[in-house]
Amino acid sequence: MMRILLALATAALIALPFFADRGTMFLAMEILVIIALAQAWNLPAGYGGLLSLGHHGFIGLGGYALYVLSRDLGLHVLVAIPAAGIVTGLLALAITPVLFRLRAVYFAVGMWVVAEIIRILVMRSDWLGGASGMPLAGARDIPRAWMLPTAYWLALATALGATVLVWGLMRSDFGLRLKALRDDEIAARSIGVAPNRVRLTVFVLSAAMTGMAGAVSYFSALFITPLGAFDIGWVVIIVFVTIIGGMGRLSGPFLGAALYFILREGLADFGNWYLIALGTSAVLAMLVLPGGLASLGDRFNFSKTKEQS
Amino acid sequence: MLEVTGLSKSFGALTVVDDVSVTVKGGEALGVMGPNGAGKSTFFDLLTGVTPSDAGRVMLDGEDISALSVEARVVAGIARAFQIPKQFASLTVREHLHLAATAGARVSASEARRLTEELLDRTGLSALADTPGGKLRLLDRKRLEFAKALATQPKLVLLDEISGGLTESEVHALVDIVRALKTPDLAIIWIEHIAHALSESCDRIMMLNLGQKVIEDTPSVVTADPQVRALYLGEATDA
Repeated sequence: MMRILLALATAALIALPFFADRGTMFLAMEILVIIALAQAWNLPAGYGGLLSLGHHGFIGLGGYALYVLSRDLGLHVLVAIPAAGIVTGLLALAITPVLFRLRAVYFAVGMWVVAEIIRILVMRSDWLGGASGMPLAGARDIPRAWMLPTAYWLALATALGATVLVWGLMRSDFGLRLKALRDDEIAARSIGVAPNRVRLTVFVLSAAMTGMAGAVSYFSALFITPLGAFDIGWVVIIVFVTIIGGMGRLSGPFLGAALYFILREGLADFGNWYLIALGTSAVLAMLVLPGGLASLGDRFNFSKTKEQS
Repeated sequence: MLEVTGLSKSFGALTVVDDVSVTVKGGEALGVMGPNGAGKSTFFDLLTGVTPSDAGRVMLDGEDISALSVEARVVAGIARAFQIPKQFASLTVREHLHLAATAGARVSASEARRLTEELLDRTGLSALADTPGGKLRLLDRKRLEFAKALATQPKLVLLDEISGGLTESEVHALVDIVRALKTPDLAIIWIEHIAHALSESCDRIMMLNLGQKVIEDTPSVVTADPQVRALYLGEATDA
């Protein structure tokens, strides 16, 4: 039953460009990118205890990687987008020897500093268009009428791909290591789990997914600027969506994204009030529902089993 | 199997483990006794690598493991059952053992499954195989702690006051389990306050006081030693 519903929902999502207008498609694409980003952020944060406040650095890196691969190597955008994810993952791997010396809140802030450094380097680079940014050379690769549907399908593939990847990872032997580390690090090490190897893997995977989602997002934008691509606002949304939705839960990013976009679109006519609503709901969630929206189901089940016993 | 020479550790001016040397062969069980603060737990921390030692060498099966990390020593063959059982709240009992077998013993997934079922059976946890670690009773947590240590296929098992909180009859059951563990390719070190438990299961007993080895001999010699009686057994009869 669940499978049939999921298959129907996926089919409807794939078919969306054939019946939706441009505005709906843009919004749907944005939602899917946020889900992919939240899923990617949730992997090290929710499952691995590695909280990053610098994932906007990976969004920008992914975006710029797409633009450079397309312009300088002439890669087709459909090849350059996954390649941008791989490039971002490799760059993330390169910074881990320094970053993984930091723990907890120092790691979170260290990541933020890294993102800032990347932004400043990009702004000072003429090769990357400096502060004014650059256009997407590969825009010609796709016929104009197919641009938006293609961007939408890429966003859909990224969001579903990230979800399936996290789902598969958590069901594997690797997922056991990750959960064990989160529950009790000393106990996990005491049965042979090497913490840094596990954390490195989820961190690099997360960076690659984030880079790819960033590339998809800036593919549809056709122009990239350092201030937009390396905006801390990305992380604010991602963290909000994941925490409200449920850290360390597969459904968390979906539920959090739903609430975020309902608030944003519902309060669109009231200026920045939606930000106040977001902040209030985030505080409320942390106080009364620390497991996020995804934990509501557990509570219901829990009270049910209690009644039975 | 295990050869420890000149192991020492100080915290500031306080020497907690002072030049301890001891050898445990395969098939042998060594009991470790000593008053609180004698350095027993720190001795285990040094063996497992949780605490880095200041001096001394730890050899396991002819291999110097003194510089290895905690997890690398587990793979090399040291397993520890903690005094306060450590389990993973979100993993089932079966997953605990599967993880210990794949990460600690480095066996294939299919071999890990076989080993897991065997250990579930041996430790009487089969009925609880799908229960999450967070929902176990104390005795079952102790069983799991034991099974987890064995799932890493160790050459040396460290038992850290595992009888704590158990009733007298449960302690007897534990002694039987430890005796059953004795196989030629496994060495055992058991820290315990209950002297008779060690006497009944161990080949030798080492007594620590203020970080130093006071005596190491057969249980009958150690328990009859006047120095040991003064230091330790007096305290035990009070309890």
